[in-house]
Amino acid sequence: MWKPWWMEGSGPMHEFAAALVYIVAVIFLVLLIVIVTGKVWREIVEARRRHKRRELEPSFFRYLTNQGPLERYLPRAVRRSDRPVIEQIFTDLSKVVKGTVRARIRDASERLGFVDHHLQRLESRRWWTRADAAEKLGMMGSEKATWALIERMNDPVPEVRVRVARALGNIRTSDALRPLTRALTDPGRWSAIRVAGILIRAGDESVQILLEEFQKLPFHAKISAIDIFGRIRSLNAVMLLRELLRNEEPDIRARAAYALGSIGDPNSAPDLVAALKDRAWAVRSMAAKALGRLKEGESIEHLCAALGDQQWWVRANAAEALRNKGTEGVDALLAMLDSKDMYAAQQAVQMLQESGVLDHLIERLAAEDGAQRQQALEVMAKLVKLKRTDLLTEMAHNHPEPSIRQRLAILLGLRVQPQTSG
Amino acid sequence: MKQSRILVADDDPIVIRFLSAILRDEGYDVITATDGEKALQVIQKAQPDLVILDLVMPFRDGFEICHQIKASPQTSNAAVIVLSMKEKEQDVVRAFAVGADDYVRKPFNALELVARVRKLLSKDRVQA
Repeated sequence: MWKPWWMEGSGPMHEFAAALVYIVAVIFLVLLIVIVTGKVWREIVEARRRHKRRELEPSFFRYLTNQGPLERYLPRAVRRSDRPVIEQIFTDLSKVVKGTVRARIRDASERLGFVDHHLQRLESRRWWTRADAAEKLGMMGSEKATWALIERMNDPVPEVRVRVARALGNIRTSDALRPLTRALTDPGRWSAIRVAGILIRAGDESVQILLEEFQKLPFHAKISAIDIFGRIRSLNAVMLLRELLRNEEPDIRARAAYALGSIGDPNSAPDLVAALKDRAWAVRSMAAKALGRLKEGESIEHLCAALGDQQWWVRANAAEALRNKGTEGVDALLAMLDSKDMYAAQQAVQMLQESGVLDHLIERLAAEDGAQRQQALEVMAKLVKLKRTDLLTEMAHNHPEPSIRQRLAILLGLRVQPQTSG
Repeated sequence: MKQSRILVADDDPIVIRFLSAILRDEGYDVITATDGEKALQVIQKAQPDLVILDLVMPFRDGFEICHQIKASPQTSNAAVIVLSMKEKEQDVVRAFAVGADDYVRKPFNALELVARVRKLLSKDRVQA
């Protein structure tokens, strides 16, 4: 009769090998049973949850979009086993809705005891439980959780602090947001960028709090607050930012100028024009950039003057600002080609070239309209006078239109072989 | 009066289920699609009066679907409300450029969305 190899033979080694095979086989069998049972159990639990969700979801949706207490819409009393399913419905939905529905989710979460449950979890010894509780409380948006969350802002684990900050940002009341503005003052323990991001998402509510707290903030938190004003683009912050252009710290003045540009209120133009004469070049540079973003034309002559600034960044930003001003700005740049200030004239050429205005004017050398041709020739002659002939020389050799090549060659005093077009 | 038909095209199941439930409660006939390809097939087959369209979906994006809805004579009368997480100015402008009738950002106010649906469908009826 056939026997497997481990049953053949005898002796202590054979018995040891046979025992080993049995032990390994039993371990594998037990593991297999545990894995299969676990999987089946998870499937059953999941199927039951799906079934419960299908049963409960319509009632909750009806509650969320109507008025009246939760009990009126439920098919039966909420059981203990329903709670994870209901909480999941609320969590999923609170990511995509706002307004009344969100408020109804908050009310139901309070009423069903979810908020109290997570407030208890917020005191857990395990940091991941505290982090999860903070996140859930943030999604529920219950004001009831505000003070517990504020206390948790001193949690030793950074991940918990970040989730608490995010939760407070979601609650969005002044009580919840005020500690976040204070968190800006603690760069050693907080990532200012993440807190700033949360305040930015909270929008105008955080602007109001930051305006109230601004004077109490230390230097680096003031800088963050100014950046937040600019990112939210809140008109409510314009008055303060205009005042800050006269602050004694150049970094604050520069950031305020940048933020005013982001907000884009044309009423801030006179203050930004004044900042073009600031003693710190970074402030002048940011003021020029900001003026380029405002929809107004009063600053054009001041930007032209800034083209002659000693600092390259100021000149470059002023030229870019003029280009952003549209036709009026481009005309001003063209007029600057006659400037006695060589810095200004050269910067104007640079911007006209970068923005494609010179290419456009070169095309006009072949225009049928004599006035247009003449205007283009005059600009080209100014470029020759400024010794900025790189583009013109290239076009004199390579432009596909023979008449343009010829006119440029004459202007530059080049001997270019006339070519046929195409 | 004929019951208006609305297609909800979104790859997020909770959005589909929630909008379907509240629009059905409002008395609309609601059909759904969870990806761009399926949305186009449903639009051609069922010819809805209004489409609530997510911009980011598998296979075809919302811009393309909206463009196709408005380009086809069979479906061009359908109103399109874009419902998207995208909040950049250029996305909103692009959505209107390809023919969207309205743009709602996520997270959205459900009651406001229903009011917009009602308004667009009543406008369609008047025009028809």
